[in-house]
Amino acid sequence: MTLQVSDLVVEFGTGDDAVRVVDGISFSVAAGETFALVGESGSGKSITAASVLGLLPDSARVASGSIRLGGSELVGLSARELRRFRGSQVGMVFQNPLASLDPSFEVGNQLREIIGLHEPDLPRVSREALAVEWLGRVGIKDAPRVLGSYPHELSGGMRQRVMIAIASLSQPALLIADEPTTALDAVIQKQILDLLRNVIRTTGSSLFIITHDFGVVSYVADRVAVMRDGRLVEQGDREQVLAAPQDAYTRELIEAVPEIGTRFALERAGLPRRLGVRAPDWAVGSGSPVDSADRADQVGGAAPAVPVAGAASGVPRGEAASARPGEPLVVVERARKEFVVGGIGTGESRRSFLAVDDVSLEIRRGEVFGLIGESGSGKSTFARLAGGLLPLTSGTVTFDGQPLSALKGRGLRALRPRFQYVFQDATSSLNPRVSVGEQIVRPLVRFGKAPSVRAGRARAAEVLDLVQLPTGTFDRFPHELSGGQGQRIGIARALALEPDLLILDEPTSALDVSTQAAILNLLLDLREQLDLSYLFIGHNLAVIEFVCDRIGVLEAGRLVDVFDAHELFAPGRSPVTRALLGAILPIERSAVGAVDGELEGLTETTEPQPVAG
Amino acid sequence: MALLQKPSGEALAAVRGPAGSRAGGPRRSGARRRSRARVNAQVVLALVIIAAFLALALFAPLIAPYAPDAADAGQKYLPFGSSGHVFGTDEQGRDILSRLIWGGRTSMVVALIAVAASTLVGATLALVAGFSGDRVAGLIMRTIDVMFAFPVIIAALAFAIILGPGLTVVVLAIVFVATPYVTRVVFAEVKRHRGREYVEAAVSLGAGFWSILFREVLPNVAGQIVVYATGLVGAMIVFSSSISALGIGVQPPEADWGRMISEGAKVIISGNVTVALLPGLVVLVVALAFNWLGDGLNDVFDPHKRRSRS
Repeated sequence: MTLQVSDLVVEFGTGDDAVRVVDGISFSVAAGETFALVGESGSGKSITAASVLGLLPDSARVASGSIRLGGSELVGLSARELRRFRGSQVGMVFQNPLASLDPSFEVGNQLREIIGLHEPDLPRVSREALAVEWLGRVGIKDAPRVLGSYPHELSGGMRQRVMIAIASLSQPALLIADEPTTALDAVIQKQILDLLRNVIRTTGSSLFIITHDFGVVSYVADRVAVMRDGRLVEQGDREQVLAAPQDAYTRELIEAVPEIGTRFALERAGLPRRLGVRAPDWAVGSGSPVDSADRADQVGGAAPAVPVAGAASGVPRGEAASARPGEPLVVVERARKEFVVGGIGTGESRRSFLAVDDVSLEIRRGEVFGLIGESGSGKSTFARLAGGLLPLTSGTVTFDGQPLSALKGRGLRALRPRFQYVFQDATSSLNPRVSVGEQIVRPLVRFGKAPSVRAGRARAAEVLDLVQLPTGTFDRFPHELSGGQGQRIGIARALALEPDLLILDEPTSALDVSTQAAILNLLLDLREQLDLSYLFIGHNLAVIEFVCDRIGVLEAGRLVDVFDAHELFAPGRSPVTRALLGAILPIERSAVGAVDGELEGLTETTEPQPVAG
Repeated sequence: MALLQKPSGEALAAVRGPAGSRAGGPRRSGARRRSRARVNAQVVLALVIIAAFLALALFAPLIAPYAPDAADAGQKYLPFGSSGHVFGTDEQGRDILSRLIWGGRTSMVVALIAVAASTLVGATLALVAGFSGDRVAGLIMRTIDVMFAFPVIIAALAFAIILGPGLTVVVLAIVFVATPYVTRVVFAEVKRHRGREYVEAAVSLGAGFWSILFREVLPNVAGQIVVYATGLVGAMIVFSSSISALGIGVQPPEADWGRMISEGAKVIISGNVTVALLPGLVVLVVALAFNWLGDGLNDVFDPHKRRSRS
């Protein structure tokens, strides 16, 4: 047994004020095994990993329990003794390699230093050779160039490869990876997971992976534990947990994940397109203290599914609307956006790049148009162009017959209530110093939608109700809200103005799966109730396919593919679309088909070159 | 209010308290609550000191035992604690206590007004510069740079030549010195907010230029502005003293802390220390009080420590 954790309790603070974040959990990781710990934010999974490494924050401590690594007890060791284990016995891969690599040293410098720590007697030349060898092992072909680069000059995927090389070059018995692919694009995510599988196979290490993504679990794990509020609600073999989850919470989490095909399966079954409706019996969902509103209404979202016959008889209005060929609401023609960076006073030469390159598309009334692309593909820039937040370099945007891109100042402002924006990070798109209610009321009064503040309050109460938040939220400040609640406020604020179009810029990518499901269900509900059109920006093809009627694919600022959602698998899809499709990690629900360890992603193929310094 | 009775001891505790108890103290423990209480005590103490001096200045005619310019050639250089003149008398036999009480009117009230004016001007300039194009922002900030580089004393002398020496010169000199500092500090803060998503959200919700500046961004930087301005008041009291000490500010025989120091400094050598020392101490205490207030307000304005309702 490589790692044996028994009855681990971790507390923040002491005495009566102590808060238990890990509450008596036990699990073990066998040699050569991949063990996944799954949970939502605040469940205590990262704290669990940190306690294994002895890297708990100052205010936290292991209150009781034991952590045994290859037979040695780690709890109670001094910082100095623990350091002996770190690196040599345990390697760590963090979520954000840019934060964990030292920004002021070259990659080679950092690699050689780590090699020097493990093998102090190795001569300098051999250290260099070893560094090159390890970069090769993590699939970096031009090692000399990478060794001479600073972390910020490498892409996210490259950095994570370097991080994996650093963590595994001492061939530790245990490799801990805390959300190693959460910050990466789908295609790179799959490559990195393949790499991790390959590394532990060649070094014989065990892998302890922390994730919130059941796709990742399904792809790499041998065994799984599901964590909630500091406790393990379920653990077992991957096939068993994924195919037949014993705990209601596990089931809830798995059902909350949108997958390719879910939508059409529901349609065929005559069920409304909502997440969590596949298993009408699961509506157990006890409220979590973190986000009870989200959890609660997710149960509500599932409710229509219970009377199956009723749902089958009446096709929801929105579904009918999507079938009707609506007239175009937004027409974008040959939109280009060029950004200029550098220039006088920046110490860099002036240069420009095209963020959006000659994109033409139309969004029809009543439809959900999905725009997908990797990070840096220009999708957020395009959303801002379509929403009149950025001026175009060239091209036109027409909104309901009005030339949006030609309007300025007052004319543009008069049109603004009709298309509204919902941002990725709700909390930062809300003014931290203004109460939530006032942020909803202000635009109403501004556009004369409410004759007085009092009338505005009444309307605000209405839209809060629409997004299923209690009226008491009115007086709250943004920092008092959870991520899901914040996103609801963002949606409520936009809806208060009765827009025709909502531009949703990755509205759920910062949220937990269950919260994401609740928000997606809410958006689908609202579209039917209010006859809205959406421009939905995302990087997760499964989410996009579930929500959108038509899908556009952006790559490097160019629109490379546009198709109806049901044509996703049709021949003639662009290579980019096929690559996105190939990077999907489905949840294996059947007990068969343990995914065989192909080494396809071992060498980097689609990664861009480092930014020229 | 035990604070009023023994200010000095409490003051030291208030200053040492938060620093001393900062070590350790996890988030929800009592230690943090206690250190928060001490921060509040610091603010309260600073407010009490400032209010006391302001009251003394405002009600000077009622409180001061003598007129500030009542000279008595027979009572020169009375020491501290003399009967009738508790703080002693100066080289013209004037009562030092009375002059200190009257002096608050020029030194403290003037500094407060001048700093308030600079804050208003500086913060507005900074907000406009922070949300304007390169040209307007460049014009504003380069002007500020020139003001920074310009020798203050020369400017003050110029004001004195045009307007004649007096309180107006002190006010203008303070505005001239303080405005660039306020503008720079607030500008840096405003620029941080310019790219924030909530500003972009406000644009998409139809907010106009001034609405974004004063209704969206200002509430987010108001805390820092007040904190910075409060700290500046202390420094400007000292500065106003030096302007008056130059002879282009408050004119004799009017009482002013700065003039009292400069005139007292001439007779220190003959052993009459209290004439300069007492006004010096008053300036020190008041300036310190304003600095404590600034520090304490920093905490009060932190939104994460404030709840809409508890």
